[in-house]
Amino acid sequence: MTEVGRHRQGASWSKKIAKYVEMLRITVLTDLAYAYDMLSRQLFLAVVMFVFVKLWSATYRWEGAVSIGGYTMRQMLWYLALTESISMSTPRTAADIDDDVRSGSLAYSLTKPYKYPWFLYAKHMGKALVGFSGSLIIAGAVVWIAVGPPPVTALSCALGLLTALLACTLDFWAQVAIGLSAFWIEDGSPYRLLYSRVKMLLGGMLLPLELFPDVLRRVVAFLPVGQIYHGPVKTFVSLSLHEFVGTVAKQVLWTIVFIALAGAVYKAGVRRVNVHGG
Amino acid sequence: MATAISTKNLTKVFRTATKEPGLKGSIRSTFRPSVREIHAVKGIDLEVERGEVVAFIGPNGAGKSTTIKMLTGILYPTSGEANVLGFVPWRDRESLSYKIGSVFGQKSQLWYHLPPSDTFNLLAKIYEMDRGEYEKRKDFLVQAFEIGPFFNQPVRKLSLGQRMRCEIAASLLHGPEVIFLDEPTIGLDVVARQNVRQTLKRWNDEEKATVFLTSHDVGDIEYLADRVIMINHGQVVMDDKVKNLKYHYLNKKIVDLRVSGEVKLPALEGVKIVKQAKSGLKLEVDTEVIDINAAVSHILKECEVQDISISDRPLEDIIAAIYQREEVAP
Repeated sequence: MTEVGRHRQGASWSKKIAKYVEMLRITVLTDLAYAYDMLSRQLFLAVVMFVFVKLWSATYRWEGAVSIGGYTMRQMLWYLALTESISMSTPRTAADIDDDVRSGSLAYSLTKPYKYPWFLYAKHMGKALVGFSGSLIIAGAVVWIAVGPPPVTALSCALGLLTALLACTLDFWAQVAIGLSAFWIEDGSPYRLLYSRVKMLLGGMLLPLELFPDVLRRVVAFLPVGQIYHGPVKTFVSLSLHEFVGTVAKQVLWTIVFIALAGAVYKAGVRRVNVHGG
Repeated sequence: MATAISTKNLTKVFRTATKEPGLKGSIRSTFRPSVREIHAVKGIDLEVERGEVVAFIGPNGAGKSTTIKMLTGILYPTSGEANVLGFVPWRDRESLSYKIGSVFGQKSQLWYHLPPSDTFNLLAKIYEMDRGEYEKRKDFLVQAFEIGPFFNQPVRKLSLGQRMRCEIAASLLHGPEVIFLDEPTIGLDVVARQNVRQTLKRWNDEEKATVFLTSHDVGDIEYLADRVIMINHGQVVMDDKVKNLKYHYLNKKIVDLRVSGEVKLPALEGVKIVKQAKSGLKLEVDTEVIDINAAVSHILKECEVQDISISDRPLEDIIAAIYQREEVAP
């Protein structure tokens, strides 16, 4: 009998975490295998950013204002470059989970010693990292040519990265909760569509929240969708430590809520795993 | 010998919603859905010793894969017990996963766009293997399964046979004590199938692991298994050693004849004409009814035989006959 089949349950935490880090690495490698394809797909973003540059140049000129909603034109265009890059690179994890539940892939993953949601988290972060880098190269190039370098400091970059990481985590767990609904409902696509549209329209992807009507801004600023685009991007381009702390607190709070929700859904759902035939 | 796998009255019932046809039916089903119960596995009792190679066979829909999925912890049973290496599979899923390996023929665990070497690295981390242990194990498997020449090529560029060898090797990386192989040669051509079988045999001769194999391919069973458990309609219908199966059910011999002239074979008890052509005849002789020598003498007397061959009934036929509950009982 082989010696290597020993039970490794007592392995250290570093080994337990290493499997998820490796998953992230392998996802990055997979996505990089088609880096040119990915970049060419995102060339469309250059057109979008070009339209934004023209639109906002005309708006600032028309208004004759140095800033609108507290944003200079440079801040505004870099804000949009970042939100568009996030939007374009957000992995479709909810749809992947839906597929995994229906195709039985989730069931097969149960025979491996890892936690399915955390494995997906590593995959989600890997995909987001590659996708965001690619999108930002395209969107950033257009905006840089139009209005110059991003209005960031070392501190705003560091804190912005932290909130971006938390935003990605929050979005991931929200998607897990939605994706796992496939255990009960026939077609999860309406819920996924609703979530992504609410996130785009109300989350500050197309306009900073400061330009929303006051009541709507206050509501959205508290909701999870307000912490995915607006929170981190505002930290990058117009850092306010007070707002930063608020954003992080809300991101952590909503992430905990969605982890609890997704955990409960997963626990109940995994008992319903049905895989017929061979 | 210690027990590797045991089940007691293991049962699985799937409940699926059914929809009536037509608009009326659809509306009725929405408010009062009717549920159909499918009894996939009906109280199976199994006992597999450590080191045994067991072929778990049956026709489509017999309950083979459902049983394997319960034994690997994928599915919860409706009732009954199961124990694999001291663990209850669906309860101790993670602990058990370090000790078992599984290959589901139609479900790949290799990363399609990356070389198998990357999947191996990932699996080594997943199973928390030490670097040295991993390297040693990887080298052994790369050599045993002869996957070295394409180990660093993206999986999408491999043939199905090469992919399956990598697939099986990957599932053995962590040194499982029990391996579940669900249709490991499905979709492979004759050469690739033989290659996978030989590799598995070589590996098992070396490691003496317990193998639980499902396959529709009789060649896999003959080549690899010591014992056959046959399941049909969710129940075990036969459990015997492969050699006993052949011995018990080979009371029927196939006699192939090439003859000249017209064939007029008078009826003889225990001799059945299976196929008759202009210059050929295929007979089935039941040796429990008539001695093979007597049957052959009778044939030689009645026909002008140019060539004769006597063979055992193919295992495939025996299995098909048992599936159909033909009268082939020993």
